[in-house]
Amino acid sequence: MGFSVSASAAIIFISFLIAATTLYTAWDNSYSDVRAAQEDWYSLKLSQLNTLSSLDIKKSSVRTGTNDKGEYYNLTLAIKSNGVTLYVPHWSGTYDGKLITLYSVDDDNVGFISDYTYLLPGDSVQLNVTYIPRDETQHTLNVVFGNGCWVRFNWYYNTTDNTVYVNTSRGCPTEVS
Amino acid sequence: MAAGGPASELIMFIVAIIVAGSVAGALAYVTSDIAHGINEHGELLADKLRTDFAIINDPRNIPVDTSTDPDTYTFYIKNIGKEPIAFTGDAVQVFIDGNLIPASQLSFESVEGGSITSLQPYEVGVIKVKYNLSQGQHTITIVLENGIRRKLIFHVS
Repeated sequence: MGFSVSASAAIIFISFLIAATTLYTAWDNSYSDVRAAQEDWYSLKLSQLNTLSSLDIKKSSVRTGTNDKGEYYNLTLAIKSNGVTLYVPHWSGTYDGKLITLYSVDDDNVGFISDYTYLLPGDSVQLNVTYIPRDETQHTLNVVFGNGCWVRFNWYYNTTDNTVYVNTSRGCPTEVS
Repeated sequence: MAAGGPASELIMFIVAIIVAGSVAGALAYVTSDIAHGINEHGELLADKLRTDFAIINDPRNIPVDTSTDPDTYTFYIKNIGKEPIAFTGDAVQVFIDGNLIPASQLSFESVEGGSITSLQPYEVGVIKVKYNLSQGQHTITIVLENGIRRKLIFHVS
């Protein structure tokens, strides 16, 4: 009788130990996974909070020309980072509402003037918008960074004083409830 | 009690082992179930934390194709998280002004116009919504399968 009790107690005790180990392993794995994901989340939010971009007027320019379709102007917009380092190949953009490729100017008349990789704080990248009809139509270029933050340029060509007026705005995606 | 003491001892031993084994088995089953739940919940939570996206349209200039009936509006979605996003009508819900758009009125495409089922990190995908909208301000809310959602207030002129 005593041996039976000891044996059954041993079985139950060992099964408790195994159960505790299994639960601890599962909890530890999940905790590590969630902590790693939390780091990624913090990293994205910090990146968004520290993203600050603007138009670098000194490196931006306008050139006018004429082709078979009429008078046009080419606009070079320099985007300056005053915040974190940004990885340029992850950028996307829309021009007058339509999605564009930023790495090439040939396909949609919008593109970087060279192959950029990282945009360091204080530096700028230059983006060409070419063959814009020379009238007073309002245009919008929306550049979205890899972390979802954006800088938006609205401009028009003033045919009276032959000047391009650019308005810049920026923002980041926010949670909704 | 002709069998005597040793036989009853043996029976008691076997019964005790069977009872203890059953308890241990039940415990193992319950523990495995709980461990599985912990793992699943952890994965879900981690997936939620790693998933994020942005609607990158210019809110004042949403591309629209008025040659279709109803009109087709184009929205651009950028994956800004660390995990691929399921990008199908079953996984993504679209609401415009609070109204759920049926999956039959949505199409999910790559930027080249091809069909895709997921968006890799930093990739942009296209959602085309067939819906008639009046002039003025509207709101689109996009909800992913894990509940992450984003809203864009846009203007139709």
